[in-house]
Amino acid sequence: MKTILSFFLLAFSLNLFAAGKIKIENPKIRLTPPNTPMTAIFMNMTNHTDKDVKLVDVKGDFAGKFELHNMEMTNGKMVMRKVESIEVKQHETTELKSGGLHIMVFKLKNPLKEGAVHKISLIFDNKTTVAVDAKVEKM
Amino acid sequence: MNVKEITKNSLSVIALMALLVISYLMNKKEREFNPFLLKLNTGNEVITLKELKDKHKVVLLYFGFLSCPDVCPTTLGTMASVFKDLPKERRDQIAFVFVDLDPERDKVEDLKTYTSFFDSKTIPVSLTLKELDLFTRYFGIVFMKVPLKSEMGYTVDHSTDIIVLSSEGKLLEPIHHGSPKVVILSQLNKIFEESNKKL
Repeated sequence: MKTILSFFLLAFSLNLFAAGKIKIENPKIRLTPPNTPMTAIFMNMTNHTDKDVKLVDVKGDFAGKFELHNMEMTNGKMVMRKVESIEVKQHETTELKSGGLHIMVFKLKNPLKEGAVHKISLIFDNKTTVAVDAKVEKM
Repeated sequence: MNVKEITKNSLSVIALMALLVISYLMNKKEREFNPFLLKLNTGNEVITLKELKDKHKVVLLYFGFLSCPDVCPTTLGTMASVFKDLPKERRDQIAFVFVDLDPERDKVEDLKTYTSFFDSKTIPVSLTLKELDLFTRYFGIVFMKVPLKSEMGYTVDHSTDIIVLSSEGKLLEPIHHGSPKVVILSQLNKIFEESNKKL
């Protein structure tokens, strides 16, 4: 009984701990042809805090530069623009997906391999850094 | 009117006519432009749209560039998947052309490596900016170089439709970006069925 109780308390407290944070789901790096020096990273970011946050920077070892970009379809024409930050409102999810907001990756150090996992750090304006393992996938 | 005025008026008329003739002659190249006869550089050889449409039942034209991280890989990936689902006989009767919109950055050798990553049947084409201007305009494709304060330097905004040409060179309903594979397959199969009916 004591073990079960303590287990539940632990799980509950861990949950509380996680609930005060930003959760990243399904981070994936698009697999691109070997001679392409750039690609994009997609994921879902959920803000479990009580304040709106903004993703302001991304760092990683597998490429030289990371930027935040948005894509929009206007009258059958695709327009891509750099953005300074990506907002995740309190208790909401922002999707970084194909055809929309995404992390642009430049100066890949090596050609991407399908299934490879790369570590990236997501830096938010509330001084939080979230480290994730992003997988290279054929999309 | 006196002689002076007559001379003045005549000179004005002559100048105007000269201007009209000059502008007519300057536009001649544009008016005579035939996209089907334009020499297309594929890296391996030079072909024309006319040759492609004579040898295939359908010619698909997609316009993109290599620094495009999302739309172009998505389109090429989707079409590769569509071709895999078609019977070989129909697949061989489709010509799929990737026209590069960024000749300043993209080299023709790189185009081949890029397109064959998705599907080796894709024909990469490199044109000069001047040729692109006329070629895209004919097909209603819009593209624009846009400077960015980014590592990229500039991006190219562009239409995302895949232009569909019949073997007669007629413009059919384009394949729209984001169309599910099922819809694209249905669209292509319909073209084959229509052309079989005509036989």
